[in-house]
Amino acid sequence: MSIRLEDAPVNTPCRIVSLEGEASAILRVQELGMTLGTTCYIVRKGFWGGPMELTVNRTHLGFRASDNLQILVELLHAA
Amino acid sequence: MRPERTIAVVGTPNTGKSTLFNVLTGLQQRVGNYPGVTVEPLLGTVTQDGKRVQLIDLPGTYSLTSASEDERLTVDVLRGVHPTIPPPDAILFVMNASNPEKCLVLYSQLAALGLPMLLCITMIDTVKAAGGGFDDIAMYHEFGVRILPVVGSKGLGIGDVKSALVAEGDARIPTVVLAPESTIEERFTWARDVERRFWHHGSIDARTVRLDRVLLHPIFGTVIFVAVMVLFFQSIFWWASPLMDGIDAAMSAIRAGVVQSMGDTLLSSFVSNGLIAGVGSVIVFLPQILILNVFITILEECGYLARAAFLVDRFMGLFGLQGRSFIPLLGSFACAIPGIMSARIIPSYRDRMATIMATPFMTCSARLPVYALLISACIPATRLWGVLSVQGVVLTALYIAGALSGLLIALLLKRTMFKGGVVTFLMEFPPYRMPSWKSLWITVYNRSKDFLQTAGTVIVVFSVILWVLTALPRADIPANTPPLQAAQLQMEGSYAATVGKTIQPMFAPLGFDWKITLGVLSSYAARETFVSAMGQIYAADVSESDVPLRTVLHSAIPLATGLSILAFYVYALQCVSTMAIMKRETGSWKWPAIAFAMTFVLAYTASLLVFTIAR
Repeated sequence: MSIRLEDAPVNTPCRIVSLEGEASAILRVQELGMTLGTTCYIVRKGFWGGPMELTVNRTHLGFRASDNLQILVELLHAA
Repeated sequence: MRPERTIAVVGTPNTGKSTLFNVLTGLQQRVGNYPGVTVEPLLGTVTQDGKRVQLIDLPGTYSLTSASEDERLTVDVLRGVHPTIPPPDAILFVMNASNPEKCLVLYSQLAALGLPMLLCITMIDTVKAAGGGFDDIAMYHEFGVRILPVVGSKGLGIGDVKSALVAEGDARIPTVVLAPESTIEERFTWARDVERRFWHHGSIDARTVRLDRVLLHPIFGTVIFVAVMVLFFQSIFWWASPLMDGIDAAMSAIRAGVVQSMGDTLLSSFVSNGLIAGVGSVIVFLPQILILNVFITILEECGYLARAAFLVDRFMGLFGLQGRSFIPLLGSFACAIPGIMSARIIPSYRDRMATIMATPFMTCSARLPVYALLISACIPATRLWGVLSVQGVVLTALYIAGALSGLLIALLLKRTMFKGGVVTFLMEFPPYRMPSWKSLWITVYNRSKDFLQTAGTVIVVFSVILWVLTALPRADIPANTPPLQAAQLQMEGSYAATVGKTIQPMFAPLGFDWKITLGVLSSYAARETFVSAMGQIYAADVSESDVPLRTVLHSAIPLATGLSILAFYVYALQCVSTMAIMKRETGSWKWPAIAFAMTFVLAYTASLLVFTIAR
């Protein structure tokens, strides 16, 4: 079952299954390594609506969900 | 003669590309002057073994399909379709040994361009320190290009890179690794495969993980962020002031020396009050520009800037800006000039422009003498509810009004002129590392030189124009007139006074008489000029302190007018230096012109409102 990335629990491997939204936003996410099938982790959720910390392979990212992009993930196993 | 060979330095962000460019070219750098380019690429010369080659530092990009305006420059130049920048003869591709995946994706696209290439791998010390490594010989056989491992920050391997750059046959056309139409997924699959075959990563960067646990923490991270910003603000505001005072004193001494040796003639007035004063008002900004650039470069190179932007992103998002806009705006409380220069750290064109347009609203240190003079002259020194000083409340209100208006202007601009989709915040956190001191010094030196050359020229020209307006025509001053009265007579008879009297009716609804109009007009060169101009207009000696002038103004300016002038100063863009640097950073006079018109309308309206209510 796929869920939105921002709803995924912290420190749980998530596989990216779908990228929807504006083409430019999707491209930017992919350029940083978040391509379909890639596994990422949420290191820390955003506070007060701020961005969250993610790791994708060896890349450490700051990411804030917005209307123009939706990332759907599948949880690989519970933390 | 055949034109010099040009090699483009290309890489993804956070590869140490700028450090490498600095170490390779040193002080042999200049800003590329190409028409119609918003982000001007740096050009540098490499000399080795008696041969020379020109390097062009193109903005970092993650791919050749990038849609962002800032990365398009790199893409267009490399594809040979840029209208003014010719395509390079070869590419120096810079990749980061500690995180090769994204670099390899870009490499797979560059390899298909058919341009000769050299591949430089930076930060090998980080990989080796973690017990890792990579097989550069196997890579050479697969890619068909020369691999040059370096540690840019320590200068290791730089000689080899220079030799390879100047030797024409060293850069070779790479093997095409993927078909040009490959998808980004296919490129990552290839890159991950290359990484798996040729790379051995050692232990994870525990230092970065540990530091981030604290520095990105909602509470500790925010406290540290505030502390860093306080230090930043203190440094440009307070550390620079003794140096600035020193420059001021030195310039005054030189001016006095000129008057003494040349006599009180028109020529000596031109040299001392026009030329030297102009040069002085350029040099006086240097301490702030040096300190700010040192600070920003350290923050950026050590990896903290991306984290700071992350922490403050939510707050800046309320005004349509991104986290990185915070630093230029904060810096502008000291001075808009270094503030606008630091807007270079904002990668998005729209956000950078909205931020630059908001900087003049932040209360800079030059407004403080004007505020201090008018508040003490016009606002009663009483206490509100027995505790709060009314003068203090007014001063705070002026600061808040400026900052809030600037942020709202930015929001308005982001919704109109610089409209674009809500950008998803996505930013790579580079690993923490020590900045390269050599590269830091080169960056700071080149930015300061650039400021003196480009903004400096405009500032000196404006200073001379202002001198002409205030010093001509020469008034007939009877012998034995005391200096203060002589200055007053000269001011009253000058072209500036004629202009002031002519346009005074326009300012009459704000409660300005011709004297105030003249004072406000003369401070269009620089706000702090208001104090000395008012001193001349009211024949008050302000050479030691502004107290005599306060006394004069207290009886000359009613409360409503005083408040009205204050409201005008909150908004008006009265600083030719800011306009000059705005032109420099946006590449066109259009933006300073818009800022000037916009701030004038706001200043006039605010002043009119205040005067009407307070009267």
